[in-house]
Amino acid sequence: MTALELDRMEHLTRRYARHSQGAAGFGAVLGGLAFFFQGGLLFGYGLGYFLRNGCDCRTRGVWKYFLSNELTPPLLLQLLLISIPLVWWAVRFKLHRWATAAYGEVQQTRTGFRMRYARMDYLGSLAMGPALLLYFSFRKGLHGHPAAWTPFFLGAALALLAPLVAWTQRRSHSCEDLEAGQMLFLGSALTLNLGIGISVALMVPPFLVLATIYGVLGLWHHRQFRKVRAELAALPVPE
Amino acid sequence: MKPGDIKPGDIKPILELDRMVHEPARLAILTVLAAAEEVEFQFLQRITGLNKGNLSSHTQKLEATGYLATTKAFRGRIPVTSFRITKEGRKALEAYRKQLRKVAGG
Repeated sequence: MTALELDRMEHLTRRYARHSQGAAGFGAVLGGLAFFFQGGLLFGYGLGYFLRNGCDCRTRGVWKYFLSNELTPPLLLQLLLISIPLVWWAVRFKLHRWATAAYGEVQQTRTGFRMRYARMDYLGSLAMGPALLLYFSFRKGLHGHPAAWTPFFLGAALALLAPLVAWTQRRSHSCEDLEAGQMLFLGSALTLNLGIGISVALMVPPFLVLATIYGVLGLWHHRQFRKVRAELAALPVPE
Repeated sequence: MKPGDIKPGDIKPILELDRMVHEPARLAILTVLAAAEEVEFQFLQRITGLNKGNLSSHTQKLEATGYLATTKAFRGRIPVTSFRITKEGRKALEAYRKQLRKVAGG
């Protein structure tokens, strides 16, 4: 066994560990699609509401209309918003199993920086959701709007699931797709509360930006994973 | 360097090499494990090119020396064996590399 062969093995192991995480890029691609779907749903709902009911746009302007807080999501939209991150989570874990079925799972080396990052990510997601929801609820005076209580509590429950996703990251802390998952949960939690200070115009652009970022990132990971898998497949098969 | 050029003191660093690490299959196993946090049996077998029996035998020896730790779990109904290098294993691999550089560099 030469030093060159050992170096190659080491390099291949690191690359496999890096790119097989997050369902070989599919987790991030799926996250991107989910963001696109969330953004599309909101945009469609806002546009549909506008076309059906119209608005006093001569005095306010269309943009101000979409920035206003008049649009409260109907039940069907609420259910869809709740199901998007949950479906992403379930499918992502199935895809991860599928991606690592051929050559097994390899976890990346945990460095001090990565461990600190994972901890901060966990604490950040734990604090961010409830903090944002509380801010919006107090801003609009939730106590005066009993109809907004249900989406608020559903949103709070979803926001509390975001740190759970971060917790699963403690063992695979290079997964950008799990960060996408946390944002999906937080995004759904916020959009459920469209009526209490969160507008369509405020939510749709970030969703579309995130969809592009995670889509591109996931495809890059998948391409790298395929290269590593081809190199592994080219190795001599043991007897 | 001709065989006659080797002085009695020159062979000492070669004799000091850790035999547990020096064996090619075990060196490959430790090298792969040092590049990751935890590695499943399936991957280790594929990348080292060892058959199941040989791989099991070498990992058992390395585990007995305290150079690697084994975790056995179930994924659904499928048993999964994973390995991780211990601190001692990492130290031994590093020491072996230094020693080998010393031998090769003269």
